[in-house]
Amino acid sequence: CATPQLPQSSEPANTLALAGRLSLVSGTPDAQKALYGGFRLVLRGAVSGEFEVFSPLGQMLAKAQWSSGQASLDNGRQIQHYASFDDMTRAALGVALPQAALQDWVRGRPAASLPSQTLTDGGFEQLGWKVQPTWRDGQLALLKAQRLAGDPAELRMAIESATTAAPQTAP
Amino acid sequence: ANSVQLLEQWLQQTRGASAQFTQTVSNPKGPAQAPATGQFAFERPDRFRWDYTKPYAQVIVSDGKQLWTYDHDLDQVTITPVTQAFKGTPAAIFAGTDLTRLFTLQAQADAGGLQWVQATPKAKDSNFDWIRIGLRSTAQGPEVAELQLRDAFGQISTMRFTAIKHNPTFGPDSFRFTPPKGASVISQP
Repeated sequence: CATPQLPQSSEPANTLALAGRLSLVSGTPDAQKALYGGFRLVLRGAVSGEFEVFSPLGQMLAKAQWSSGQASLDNGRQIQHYASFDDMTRAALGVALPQAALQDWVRGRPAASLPSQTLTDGGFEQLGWKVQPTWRDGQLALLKAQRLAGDPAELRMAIESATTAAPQTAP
Repeated sequence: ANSVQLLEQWLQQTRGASAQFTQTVSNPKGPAQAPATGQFAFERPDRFRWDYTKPYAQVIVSDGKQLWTYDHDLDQVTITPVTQAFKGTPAAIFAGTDLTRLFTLQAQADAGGLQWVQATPKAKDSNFDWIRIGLRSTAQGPEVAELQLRDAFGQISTMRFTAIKHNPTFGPDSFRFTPPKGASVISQP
């Protein structure tokens, strides 16, 4: 399916940094793959970012970086390069996570520039995924995203910390 | 005894232990993770459990056959074969099956009141550089007071153990895990 075009935001990109734990389960029940561990996700606007995954005991297992037109995945021993964020996440996780909307989903909202449908339970559907944010004291505490079409996949993120930084203005 | 001999004594005299742990992770290139604390226990050859209580609730239990990992917030249990748990991870130190087959052991300088051994994995595909084991002698024999692990990115995770009990008697359910009602359970082949 055609990858939705990223919104070309004109205003300077601010940076969102999230940390917590995540699980990603993909495949049919008889051949499921599960990834579980700590994560640190940094998003700089809509097109670039980095993502670190840790073992439950705190060991860094992989570090992904991407910007427009390229993505790379480092396991500490070797770096693999990919043409896009989607290709990288498909190779690394077995699931192509929709980059066009990810930076909004992790803020608990649908991407405004793409079609979506609000659901009665406070969630929403977008790009063939059902997304369920859970808020605690006004902060996004948990995010569940289930793929509705194609091979089953479910991403769960427990968000322990979220910080936003304004863009670095030139001196 | 030098530190490698002390480690060998510990391996001979220790069937199991329980302790409280504090885990800190230092990252030379970026912000480290928040410290975590909890309870740890193990019983040779292949049963152990880490019960994280702060800053989040996470349980990792090996019952000797399977490794159960439960995250309270995600409300999810992942089950994997226990063999993966021991393949070149800190758990292999506690399993005690011949360390010299899996690691090259080197005595290090004393530091922080402990005697240190560096265990470098022999497997080329290991996802960490080394584990350092900090030991001390006590009236009940040698004990492991600290573990440091440097991963492939240069991050160092440090586990400090306190309130250590040597060779305690574990109940039959000590290393058994029952998924909470309603949690989603994912078992991996």
